[in-house]
Amino acid sequence: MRIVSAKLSLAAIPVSLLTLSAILTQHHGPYYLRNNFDPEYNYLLNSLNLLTLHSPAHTDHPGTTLQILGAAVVWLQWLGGYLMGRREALREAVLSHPEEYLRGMNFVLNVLISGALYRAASAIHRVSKSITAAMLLQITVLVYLQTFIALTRVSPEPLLIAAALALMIPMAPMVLSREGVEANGGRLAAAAGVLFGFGLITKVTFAPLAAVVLLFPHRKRRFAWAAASTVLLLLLPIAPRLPAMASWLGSLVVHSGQYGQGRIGIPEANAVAANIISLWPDQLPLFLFLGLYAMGLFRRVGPKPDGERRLLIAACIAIAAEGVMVAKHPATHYLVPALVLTAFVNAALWRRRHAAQWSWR
Amino acid sequence: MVVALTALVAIGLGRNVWSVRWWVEAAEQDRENIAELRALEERLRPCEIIPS
Repeated sequence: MRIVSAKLSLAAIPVSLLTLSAILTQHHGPYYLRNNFDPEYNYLLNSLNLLTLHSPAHTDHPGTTLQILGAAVVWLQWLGGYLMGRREALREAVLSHPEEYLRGMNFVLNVLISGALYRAASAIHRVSKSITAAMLLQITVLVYLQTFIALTRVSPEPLLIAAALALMIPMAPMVLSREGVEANGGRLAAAAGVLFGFGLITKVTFAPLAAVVLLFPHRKRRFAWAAASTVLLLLLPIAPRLPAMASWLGSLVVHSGQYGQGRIGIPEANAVAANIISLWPDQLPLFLFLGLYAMGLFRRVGPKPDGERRLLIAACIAIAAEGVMVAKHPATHYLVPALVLTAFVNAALWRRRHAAQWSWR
Repeated sequence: MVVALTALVAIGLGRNVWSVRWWVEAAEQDRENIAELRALEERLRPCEIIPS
């Protein structure tokens, strides 16, 4: 009875979020509007490219995962329509009803977010036996406006939220379980590596979450191999475009201006400061959480890093790295992976502070 | 730390309710502006300059 009650409690927020996504998408308006079509139509048309056996031309994020998911959704939606009597060729169907297909992709992304939110909270609850910690994870995700905006989009961000939440499923036992993890450690590290690779190919802004490798202290190599294999596999559909993609991503790093513009070098200090300050009001909770984690870290200085310290170090590195990325390209949606990570950190910290006879691994 | 954490989450949640409402209103305003612009375009159609 208690298990059923816990499951119902943990399902409440994901189901509400899925319902809310339908309302917000309605308010957001059609995807052809000026503020709504980029990158939505890019992803729809590149998913169609995959379905017609062409390599996607848009590889900026690179976003291959979303294109593959989009291709699957579009194909199933088209097949459903075809079987129901709408006799159109796939290409004609997508090009003449693009909004319908974008709504389908948006719905599937929202189902993934809600499902991952439920599963991540369940994983926390399973290993910690704390419904409050599990719900704190879900509530922290709702603290950010970017979560709600992502519900209306067909862009990498919704998939990044789902991937970051899914990454918490193998992280939870590593951080919170008191016994029996060593036997499964390799499997959990491999699963985390696969999910990290998936997130990284969805959008490079996921890269700072590589810091979670610190939570697998004896399985770093397993994590790295799993991540590298996943990345290579997911890059296959865009193999002919890899040189162009590498050149684009390289230009983002080495040029001082935004989006590969300006001279080669680091940006001016005043530009970096202005960019960070411009994000401050929108992302105040994130910066305050970072301050709190840093304080917690300094209070736990000791000779041997324990589970809490490893978690706080990983969180501080990930958020700081995300901050460095947006210092040159200031946009709040680039911070999404770090925002979602704070949900896990908060839940774990809550469990730590409220558990009797608790010992961190 | 737990008190600070709880307070931050609670404040963040309250603040976000306001942010989401603001965002929804901005999105609706944007749509209304576009609709008005389209209506204006339709009204001005008779005034279109036909190139000679």
